[in-house]
Amino acid sequence: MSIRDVAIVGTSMTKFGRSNKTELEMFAEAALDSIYNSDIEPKNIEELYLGNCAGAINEGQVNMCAHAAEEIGLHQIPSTTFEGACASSAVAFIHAYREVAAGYNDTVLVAGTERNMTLRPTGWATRVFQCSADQRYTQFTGLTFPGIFAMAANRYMKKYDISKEAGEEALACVSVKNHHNGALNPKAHLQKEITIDTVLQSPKVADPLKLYDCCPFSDGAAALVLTSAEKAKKLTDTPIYVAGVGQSSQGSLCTQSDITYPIGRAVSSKKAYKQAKIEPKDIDIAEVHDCFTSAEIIAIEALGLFERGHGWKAEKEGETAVDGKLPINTSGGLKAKGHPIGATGCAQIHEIVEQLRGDAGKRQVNKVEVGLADNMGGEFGTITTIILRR
Amino acid sequence: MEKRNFRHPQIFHSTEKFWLGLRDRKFLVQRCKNCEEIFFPPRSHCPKCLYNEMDWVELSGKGTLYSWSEIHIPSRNFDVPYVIGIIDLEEGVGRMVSKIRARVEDLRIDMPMKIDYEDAEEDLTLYVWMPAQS
Repeated sequence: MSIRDVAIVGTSMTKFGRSNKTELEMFAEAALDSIYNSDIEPKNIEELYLGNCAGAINEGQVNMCAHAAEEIGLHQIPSTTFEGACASSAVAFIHAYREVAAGYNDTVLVAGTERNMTLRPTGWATRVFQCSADQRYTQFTGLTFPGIFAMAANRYMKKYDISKEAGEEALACVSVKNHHNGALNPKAHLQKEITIDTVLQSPKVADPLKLYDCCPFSDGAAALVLTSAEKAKKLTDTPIYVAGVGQSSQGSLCTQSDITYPIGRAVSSKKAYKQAKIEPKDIDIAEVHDCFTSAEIIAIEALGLFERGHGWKAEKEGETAVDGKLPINTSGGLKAKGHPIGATGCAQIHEIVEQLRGDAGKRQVNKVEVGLADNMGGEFGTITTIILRR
Repeated sequence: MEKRNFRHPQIFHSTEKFWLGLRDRKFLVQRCKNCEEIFFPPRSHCPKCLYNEMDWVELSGKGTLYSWSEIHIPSRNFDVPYVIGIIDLEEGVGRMVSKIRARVEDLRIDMPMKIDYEDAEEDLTLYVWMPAQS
C-alpha cells in the first residue's frame, strides 16, 4: 500500500495539575489552541480522534467525542473516542495518522482529555486505574498498578543481581531527573526539584516503590493537528513529520512472560523503527511511559535504547538527563509533567514536537532530528510507539 | 442492586468450575479436549488451538514466587498492608496473580510456594499462596 507523508502542524496542551474545568472544557482549550497555532480555522478540521479513558466512570459522560466536536463548533464531522487506558490518545493519534496517510482525510484533530485529580479520593482513583487489569483473575486480588511495577522492579533487581539499596537509589535517580525536567516545564503538574532523599524518605506505596516513585493523578488535555505533508509545507516552516508508528496488545499479567521486558513493547517499537527506516541508536530524544520510576527503566530497555540490564546504570550515571547521551522524558515525564491518563499520549507527542522545533525553552536539547514517544496502557496491555522527525 | 465486593471475583460460566473446585480444596484447571493443552487461567477457548470444549484436571498446587510486593496504598476496600505476588505454576502451564500469606522477611524471589484456600463467604472460597516450608 502506498501511503503519503503526514505532518503535525499544530500542538497544544493545558497546564497539567488541578483544573476546575470538565473534560470537555479542557479538551476545548487545548483543541482550539492547537488549531489556531496551525494557522487554520476550525472549519478546516475534517475529523476528530479523541482519547479518553474513564470519563464514563468519573464524569458520567459516555460518547465524549460527539460532545467534544460540538463544543468547538465542528458540527456534523465524524468523531470517535479511542480508549486504550493510559495509551488512549496515542491510539487515537495512530488511527488519525493512518487515515491522513491513506488519503482518506487531509486535516484532522487528535486530542486527549482526562480528569484524574479533582474528582475523588486516592482509593477511588486507584480502583479506576485497576479496572484496566484483567477483571477475571487479577483485580480482586488487590493488585494495584504500583504493585505491578513494584513486582517488575523486584524481579529486575533479582535478574540483574542488584542490591535493594542500589536498586532503590537508581529508581530515585529517575524521579530526581524527571522532577528536574518538570521544573523547567511551565506546563508541568509538579514544578519542583527534589533530591534522592526526598524519594527514599517518602511514604511506602508498594515496596520498593515510594510516593515519589509514582506519577501524580492529574487533570489535563492535549491536542495536535495532523495534515498531509503537502499542505503542511504551506502552513508552517517547521512541519514535524510522522516517521513511523507501532502498536501492540497483550492480555492478562497471568499470560505474560517477562515483566521486566514486555515483549509487546519490543514488537511495537520494531514496527515503528522499520517504517521509519532507522535503528534505536538513531533516536535523539524519547518520551517514555514512566508511570512509575521502574516503568521508565523497563521502557528504555525494551525500546532498545539501552542494553538489557543496563538501564538502571544509565539512569544513575546521568545518561538520560537533558544534557546526557540520550535525554529521556525532557518534559518531566508522567512523573513530574503529570498523568491525565487519556491526555498523556498526545502530551508526549507535544513535547517531542516542541523539541524538534527548538521551542522547548530551558529544557531544549541540542541537535534533535528524531524523537520517539512510547505510551503504555494497562498491565502492558496496549503499547504504542510513535517516531517523529524534522 | 447488590453492592459489589471488589475483594471477590466475578464468576462466569467458563470459570465457574475453577471456583467450585476451590470450595472442595482442589486446584482445577482446564485441559483442551482437542489438543490436550493444559492452561491457567480458565477461559472459553483453548489458547493453543482455540477449541471450545475443555476437561478439568487437578494441579499439584505447587509453584515458585516469580515476584512480590507489599502494598501500602490499597485499592478501594482493602486493608493494608497486604502482600501480592505472581506465582509460576510448577506444571509450567501459566501464572497466578495472588494474595500471599507470609511474613515479608521470609519471602525470596523463586522460592517454592504452595497454594492454600480461604473461605470468603458461604459459597465462595479464594486461593492464597504461601511459602512451601511453612
